[in-house]
Amino acid sequence: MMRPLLSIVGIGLGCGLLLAGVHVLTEPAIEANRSRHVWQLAFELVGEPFDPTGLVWQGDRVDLPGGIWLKRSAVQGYAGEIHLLAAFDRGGQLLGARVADHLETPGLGDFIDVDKSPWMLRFAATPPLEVDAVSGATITSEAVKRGIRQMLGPEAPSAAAVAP
Amino acid sequence: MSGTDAAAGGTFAEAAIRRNPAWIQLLGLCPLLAVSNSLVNAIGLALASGFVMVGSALAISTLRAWIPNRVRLPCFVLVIATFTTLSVLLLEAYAFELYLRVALFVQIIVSNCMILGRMEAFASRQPPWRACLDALGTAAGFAIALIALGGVREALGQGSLLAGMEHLFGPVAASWRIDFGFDAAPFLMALLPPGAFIIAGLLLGLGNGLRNRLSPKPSLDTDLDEHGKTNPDIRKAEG
Repeated sequence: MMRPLLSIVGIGLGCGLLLAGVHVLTEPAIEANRSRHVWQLAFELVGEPFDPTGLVWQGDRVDLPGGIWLKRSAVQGYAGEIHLLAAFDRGGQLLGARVADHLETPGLGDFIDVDKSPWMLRFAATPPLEVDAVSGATITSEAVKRGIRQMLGPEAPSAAAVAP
Repeated sequence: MSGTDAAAGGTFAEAAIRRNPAWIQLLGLCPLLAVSNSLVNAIGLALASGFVMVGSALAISTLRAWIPNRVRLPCFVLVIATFTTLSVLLLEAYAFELYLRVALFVQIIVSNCMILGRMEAFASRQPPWRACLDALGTAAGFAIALIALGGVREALGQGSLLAGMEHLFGPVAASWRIDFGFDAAPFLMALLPPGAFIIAGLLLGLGNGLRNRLSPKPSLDTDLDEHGKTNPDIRKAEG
């Protein structure tokens, strides 16, 4: 009677140990990759590469030499969290935003990735609430718009002020 | 011992060609159609699927004496999920560019019925070396299907072949790219999901046509036994 249970517990334990071991082994490489990816996006936003050594994230913000600062945030998308990265100039003006990581549906919600579609580039020139959502992926579009509006801070126009 | 060698080759070829998971058994079509829009994505998914397939087959075949029949499916799923997560971790650590492209699909390898099917039908009843061969064969068969579809779709949709291989094989591979010299995407639909279905259907038809021409066989319903395996006795009886 107990044997099936013992087998499952045993195999589960083995699998868990294996996963934990590989996780410990790969974690430094994964962290380095993620951080490199975020800096890569930051270079795109700022327009030129800079040396990220010595720059430390303070909460969700990091100041770059030259007065530009980066902000990151996570919003709930359709299939999981969407991690956003935005760059602001000295006066708090949005320079642009990128998606660093997401789990949206491939082929449908992945237009938020600039490699797939130029949609994210519109935020550099347009207030977030005036950017058109993509039909078929309303939740994804609205999540990104919400995230960027939140990063712009409370002084950003509210939905009521923009609506006609 | 040539008998063992022949049996080994037979297990591999049987799994890869005669029982090709995608073109004959029509299993694992979701990742097959979703990821095959370029060769580099197709090869990436084929490698990840192969890793999960072989790892799970070895583990399950080794543990088969300790897996009670009544709880075998939860155990199989546990092992397959572990190897899927391992492949995601390894991809993210050592092939990050590829991870960014195919991670969403690698995570759903766990639900690929092709893998669970081979564990249930083969790996859980055979010694590790045969299970490993069968898993390699099935993975090779899946890779053949993925690469065929990926190649056709990339050629038609992007007008190139082997683009972006540097994400998989390092900077050397950047020069492998072959361009057919189109300015714009020649046939965009090939990259989109409807194109995947149409091209997969055409390739399937081509394969079936070739098979029928090379070795005329009775139709599917008489030729296959309940496991989807060719039954030589039936063929002999009819021949």
